[in-house]
Amino acid sequence: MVLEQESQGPLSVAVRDFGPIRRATVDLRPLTVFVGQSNTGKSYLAILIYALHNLFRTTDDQRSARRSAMLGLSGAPGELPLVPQLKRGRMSADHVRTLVGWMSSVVADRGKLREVLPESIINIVRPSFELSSKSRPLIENEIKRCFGQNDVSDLIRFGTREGASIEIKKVGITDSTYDDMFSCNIRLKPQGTEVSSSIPTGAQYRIEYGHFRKNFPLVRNVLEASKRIDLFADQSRELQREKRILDHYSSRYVSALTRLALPIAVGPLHTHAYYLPADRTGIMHAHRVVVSALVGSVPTAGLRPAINVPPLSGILTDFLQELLGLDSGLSEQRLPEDNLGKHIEDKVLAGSVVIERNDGYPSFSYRPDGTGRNIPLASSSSMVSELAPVVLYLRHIVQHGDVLIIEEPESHLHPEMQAAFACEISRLVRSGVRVLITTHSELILEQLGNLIRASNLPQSSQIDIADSDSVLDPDSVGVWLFTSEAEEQGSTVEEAVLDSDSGLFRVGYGTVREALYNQSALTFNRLQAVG
Amino acid sequence: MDCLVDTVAESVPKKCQVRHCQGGSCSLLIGECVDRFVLVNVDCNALNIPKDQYRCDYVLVAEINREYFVSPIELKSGHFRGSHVVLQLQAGASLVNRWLPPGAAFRLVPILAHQRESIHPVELRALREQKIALRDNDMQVVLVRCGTSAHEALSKSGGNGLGTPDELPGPKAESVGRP
Repeated sequence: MVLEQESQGPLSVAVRDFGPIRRATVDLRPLTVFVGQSNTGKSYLAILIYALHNLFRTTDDQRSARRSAMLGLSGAPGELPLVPQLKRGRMSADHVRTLVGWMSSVVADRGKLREVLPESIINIVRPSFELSSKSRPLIENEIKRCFGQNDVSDLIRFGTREGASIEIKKVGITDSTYDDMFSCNIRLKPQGTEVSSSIPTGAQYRIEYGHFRKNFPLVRNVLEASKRIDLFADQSRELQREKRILDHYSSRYVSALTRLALPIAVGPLHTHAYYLPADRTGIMHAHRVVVSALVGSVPTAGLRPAINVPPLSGILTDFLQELLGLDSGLSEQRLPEDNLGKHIEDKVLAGSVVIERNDGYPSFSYRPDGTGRNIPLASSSSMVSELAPVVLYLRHIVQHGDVLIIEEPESHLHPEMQAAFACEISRLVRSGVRVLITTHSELILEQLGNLIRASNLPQSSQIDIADSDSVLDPDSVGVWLFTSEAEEQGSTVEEAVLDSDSGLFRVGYGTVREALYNQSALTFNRLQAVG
Repeated sequence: MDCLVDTVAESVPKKCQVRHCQGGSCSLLIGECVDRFVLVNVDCNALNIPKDQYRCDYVLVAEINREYFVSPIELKSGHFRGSHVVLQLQAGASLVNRWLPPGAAFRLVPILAHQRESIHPVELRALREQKIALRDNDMQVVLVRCGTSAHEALSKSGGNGLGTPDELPGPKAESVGRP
């Protein structure tokens, strides 16, 4: 509905004093990669981005309503969790008049393919994007839930008095110029969270004319009601009735317009995100035990002394919930041609991941190609357990446009498989799934570098280097390097550059590699000298 | 004459002997912490090296803590191929062989100075697999950063890195002499 290039301006997330991070600003691209030393905040930022998706995503479909209910984020199905919490009450007479005037002019000028929302219309939509104090608990609770923390103080960098800040900024691109489209500031403080957000004056929100066609019944009702009003005398009952009708349809239309503006305002954050935590392999093996323990403890609650059970983080509970919902009617299996996980099964796993439900809970197994035999996941290789959730998510849950966050996809993978999986990640991105990974894998980065550099070749010259559906547009990838800074008492984040000569991202692995090399040179040379 | 540095200095045309090791935007500090040295600019015309032959940038013969070091040096400001560097440094080793007296005792430390953020593993593998040979020495190239001192690379390759003086099988400066 929205012109693609106009919704593609970068969305940046900037944090200060958040977890171990002193400061960071990252753009969210179709493929976003977090690299760097341990304890520099890669997972912290990934979890925060997951939480922001949960807060800003659209909930226009059944999947959204189910997910909202599952995550406990929203009451009514179809409600947006955070933006816009549209006031569905009466619109002011001025706003209705402005809206009718604008709609009349647009409908009269059907030749236009797109329309920049005039400031007067933005003014009607704007309040829906201005977060109020009512949004504060929702934001704070969702962030705490995702991190498994009870207190925001635990999310603030140690030694910081002013609290942690999170800033979301969306920029739009119009004729090569950048316009601010939306900004949101969240400040986590021990004494209370503060939030603010706004659409700046002069923001260029462009919508295509197809929007009017899709909403034509609403548009027609608004325009016809506005015409009928002129037919009735002042204060008459008929006039009051027509005014209510006009107000009703105008509100509904503004609601539709607001939903249309949401992707432009918050970019990719309006999509669904799914998080595959680093310890997913263990959970794949133990999820039945965990659930049994949780369920089993319920009947005895209150009969025994309370034990201090550490809370599971939201990313773990969400992962568990999604696993339990797989193939249960809550998730839908893709058609074969739309099954994004099938390629991974064919090219990397050389077999398929099977779900069985014998006692209500799903159990997972691996069926190697050509064997017809199911091997329980716990008895399969670590690689299978590692990739099984990725395959299952892509088969049952993740849709085009969604975001899949994978922590350390290289875990348990042989170097050859790491490189192969990097191609699968690339293929996913090409197919429209946005991917965010945290990684320590030099091989994954090198493969991604190769796929990016291959995009500079004509397609005919890419043969034997990369499949055409895995080549990556350089603009679609952002690699962000997390560096621990002793002076800053925290980590900082900068975009890593792809070295055009070596084809490697500058992420500091070269230093380690060179040190190892020199160690080998000195050892060899000393052995020569001694021997 | 019992000093290898002086012996080599006498064999090399004076106009080819320099004090600073620099090529493009890459340089290597030599003078600091080196007791005595002779640094030869291999591009010097007086050496009469055919233009189509491999060559490295400099050859260093130095004395540190009564040990002699012979170092073909290649400076790289930008991209390089490991296999090509090995050929260049080997050419430098062959060149210095002409000036070393028979029986001279020294440690060979081939040096590549570079300023790459990251060297591709393939290039490192080439450097790892192909050694530089000079007389009885067969050594792996040592990497240093442009702008740093050669001293660390040399001293680590020398006696200090090989154990206590009693354990050292290597040469001492006094034992070096011209026949």
